[in-house]
Amino acid sequence: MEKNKLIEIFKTALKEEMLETNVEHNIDLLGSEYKPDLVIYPQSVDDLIKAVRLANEHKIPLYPIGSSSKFKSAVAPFTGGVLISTKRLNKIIEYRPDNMSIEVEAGMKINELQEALAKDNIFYPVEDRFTNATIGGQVAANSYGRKKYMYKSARFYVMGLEFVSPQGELVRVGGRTVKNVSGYDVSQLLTGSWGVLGIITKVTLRVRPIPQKRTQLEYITEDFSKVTEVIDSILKEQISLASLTFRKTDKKYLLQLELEGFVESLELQVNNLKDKYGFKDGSKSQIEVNNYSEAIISLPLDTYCQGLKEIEALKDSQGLIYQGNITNGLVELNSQLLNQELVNKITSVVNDLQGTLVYQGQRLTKKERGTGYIKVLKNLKSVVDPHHILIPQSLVLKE
Amino acid sequence: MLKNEIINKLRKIVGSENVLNSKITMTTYAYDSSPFLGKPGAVVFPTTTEMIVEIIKLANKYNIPVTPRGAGTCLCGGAVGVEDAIIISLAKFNRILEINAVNRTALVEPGVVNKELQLAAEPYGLMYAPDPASQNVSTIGGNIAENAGGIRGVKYGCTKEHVLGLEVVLPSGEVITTGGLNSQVDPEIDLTYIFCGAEGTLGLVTKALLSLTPINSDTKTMTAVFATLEDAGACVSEIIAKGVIPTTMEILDNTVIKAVEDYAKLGLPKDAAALILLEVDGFPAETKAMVENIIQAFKNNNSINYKIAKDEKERQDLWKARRAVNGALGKLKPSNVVHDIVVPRDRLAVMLKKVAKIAEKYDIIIGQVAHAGDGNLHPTLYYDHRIPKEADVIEEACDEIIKETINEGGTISGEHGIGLEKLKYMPLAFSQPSLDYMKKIKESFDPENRTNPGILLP
Ligand SMILES: Cc1cc2nc3c(=O)[nH]c(=O)nc-3n(C[C@H](O)[C@H](O)[C@H](O)COP(=O)(O)OP(=O)(O)OC[C@H]3O[C@@H](n4cnc5c(N)ncnc54)[C@H](O)[C@@H]3O)c2cc1C
Ligand SMILES: Cc1cc2nc3c(=O)[nH]c(=O)nc-3n(C[C@H](O)[C@H](O)[C@H](O)COP(=O)(O)OP(=O)(O)OC[C@H]3O[C@@H](n4cnc5c(N)ncnc54)[C@H](O)[C@@H]3O)c2cc1C
Repeated sequence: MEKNKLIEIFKTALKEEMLETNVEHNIDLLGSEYKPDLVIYPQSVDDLIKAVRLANEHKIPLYPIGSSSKFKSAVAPFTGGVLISTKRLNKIIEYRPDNMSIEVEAGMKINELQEALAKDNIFYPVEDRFTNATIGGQVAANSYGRKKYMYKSARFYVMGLEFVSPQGELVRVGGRTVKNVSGYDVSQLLTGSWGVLGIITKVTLRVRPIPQKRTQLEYITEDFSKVTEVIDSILKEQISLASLTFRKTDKKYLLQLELEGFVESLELQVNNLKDKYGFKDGSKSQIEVNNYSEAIISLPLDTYCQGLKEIEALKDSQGLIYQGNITNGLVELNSQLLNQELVNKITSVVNDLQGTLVYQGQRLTKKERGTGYIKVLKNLKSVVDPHHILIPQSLVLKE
Repeated sequence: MLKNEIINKLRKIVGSENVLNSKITMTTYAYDSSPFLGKPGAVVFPTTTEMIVEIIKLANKYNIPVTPRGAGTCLCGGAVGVEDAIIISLAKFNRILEINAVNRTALVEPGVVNKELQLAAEPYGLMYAPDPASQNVSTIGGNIAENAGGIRGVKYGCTKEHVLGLEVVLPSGEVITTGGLNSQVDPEIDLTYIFCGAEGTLGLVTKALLSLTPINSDTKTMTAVFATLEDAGACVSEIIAKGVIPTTMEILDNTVIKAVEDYAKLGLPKDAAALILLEVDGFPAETKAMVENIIQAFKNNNSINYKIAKDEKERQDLWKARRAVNGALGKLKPSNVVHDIVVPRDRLAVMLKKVAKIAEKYDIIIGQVAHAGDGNLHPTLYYDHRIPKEADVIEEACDEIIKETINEGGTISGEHGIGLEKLKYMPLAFSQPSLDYMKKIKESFDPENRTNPGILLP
């Protein structure tokens, strides 16, 4: 469809201030290979519904987008169609501190949410280093932060959702109660659905009291075998472990450990870790492993150290292991040192250890979900989105 | 009645000893733990995923509905099946395949009884956190299908919070594996959680990867008595708002306290409006701080009497009242209906009051036990089924309870499920487009509507 005609269509129902044709200036993190004709900034859920209905009527592809930080990893480049941004849907709808719940619009940013909660000593535990990320984007991607070991991922905090179905119907599922088994748990399906099953407009989150204390410890060694020894042993400790990470610089390995909990019990744990392993008080700067980096491995905890050892033992692997979030099972490789031969070898190592290797956005390890898996997903997509309006070329529906 | 041809084919798949179809056994499998009755055509006991695939293929070929079944403790009529259904009992498909102390996981077959998993995990210093009151018999498959909650739910959450991945036989007969141990590093839609709470209508769970939780070294148990429901409710709110996350927080109302006292003679004050049972766990330094906070909340909210167990014997004594509830209430009238409503936790006291008012209005006995920490109430309405008028009054009272629950921002079921029992309330809880979206989910998984049809969606 011609761009001008497309814009005219949306002008019939939406105010001009919601329509933006200068895409590059408005969406920061999207590359030039993404060429939508238009960005729509709905100012209300009704606006959004109107846009979705028009898109259905005229068969125009729609791409829900929050702060665009993760969009590219799930959506292949495209030309034409409409980005539908949640930016202006950013209000708190219902806050119940005595229920430890908050309902917000999908475009609210993580940092704004944390600020609103902090005054009551409450927080949303899925911390995101990218504090501009939207709640909608976080939930749509089922994000997790550095402390996944303690706090898991976004889905475990979603109690209810409101979303606009791909056909433009307003759906409300779940609720504001911590327990709920009324009907299918559609909130759980939409969480982590990467925008293909509906556009999330409101999210009700369960939140938690901020822990009394957070402590960081460090451990530095040049001895690799010491590193794996300490990791294996730490994972068996009864401690309030929030994260365990490492980074390799030159010859040194730096281990960082975070504890969260009650003051008195952390004191005991810290003393014990210092005595038993030689941990020291940690610095403020955190090792951050990006789970969507160039070359990333995800392993089960019980094969994690084995994976490190096998990669270290490969020929020409010097400097390859860059850093890792052990408690999240992640190892980040220095992608500049990779060549095809090494990639193949590492793929085989990771396959044997039941892990996942993603290199340059491609999963190289096998995944055995059964052919029925993608089939049932595609069925579902066709039934809820018969015209394939929402992100038609989403990578999550690729076989 | 299923044709002999079908029965013979079923026998070929699972062995003759694993197919039941006599009239008498069919009567026993017509029940679950709800008042609803089915009329099964056969009950089969597969012990492998492959057998289940074969059964589903057979059922598809002859267009026969199937209903998965664990221990049959379902309270909503979800396990009884429609007429001539093949009941697929997972009771013999029940091995614990692995307990992994580093990953803190268990890999189990669906028929494993909840309690057996608890016992198997214990030597590793681990527990399977969901602990429904039916844990001595109910199965992991049934727990997942209902997203069962437990007494430790306040702190540890319900079943779905402890499921990492599943193997499922879809209604098409295809086997899929969902979830897993690894953190997600490439975008993928995880189907694990739509099966949790789906009441067996989207496929059969044939394996489950579950997360286990370290057992905490210290537990403290307390009870407190209140003269008014308002005080008790305010106390619950204050505890939650203080950031104390108890393991268990149960509340019993006056009707229940009186019944328990008459039944078990524990020395409870029969004029008290509410009794709260509270448990916290953690490292000793933590439980100490939590207990201090809780006692402060007891005092701030005019508790007329509170106790803290000093040892295991005293702990068991404090639990006695809660444990005696079912037995005690059974004495009041021959029949009862239990509801499973949930409200936001800040509306708990209001809801308890409203239910008490409804009891007054209809002049019936309603005993209330609630998982206060979750906002999950179990009002039990007592009647005599031999007197038709009593049953009608109960029905009216139930409708009013549901209506009030929704007014308070709550919902119709917290852990027992919809099944057949709560179908009529679904349109109160959800708008038509929301119900339509759910129907589309069912349609895409089970286009022929053969897997546990007739339940969950009106
Ligand atoms: C420096 C940096 C650090 C980061 N750290 C982390 C981290 O620690 N952990 C982590 O998991 N991620 C991390 N991320 C990725 C990202 O910030 C978040 O995880 C977040 O999920 C993305 O939010 P967003 O608003 O940018 O979503 P977008 O990128 O805009 O969207 C993500 C996906 O969700 C869909 N979507 C967005 N909004 C909606 C909606 N309302 N309804 C339906 N679908 C929608 C989009 O179509 C897209 O498929 C990081 C990113 C950066 C740049
Ligand atoms: C005394 C008593 C106390 C109870 N206490 C609690 C409680 O504290 N908390 C709570 O939440 N519930 C409680 N319940 C309800 C019940 O125990 C739970 O719903 C339990 O999870 C059911 O497990 P089951 O093995 O008995 O399943 P069943 O009753 O046999 O089946 C329940 C549902 O699950 C489906 N199903 C069973 N196995 C599978 C499978 N492998 N794959 C797919 N679907 C399957 C069935 O089709 C049915 O719809 C209680 C019940 C009783 C009788």
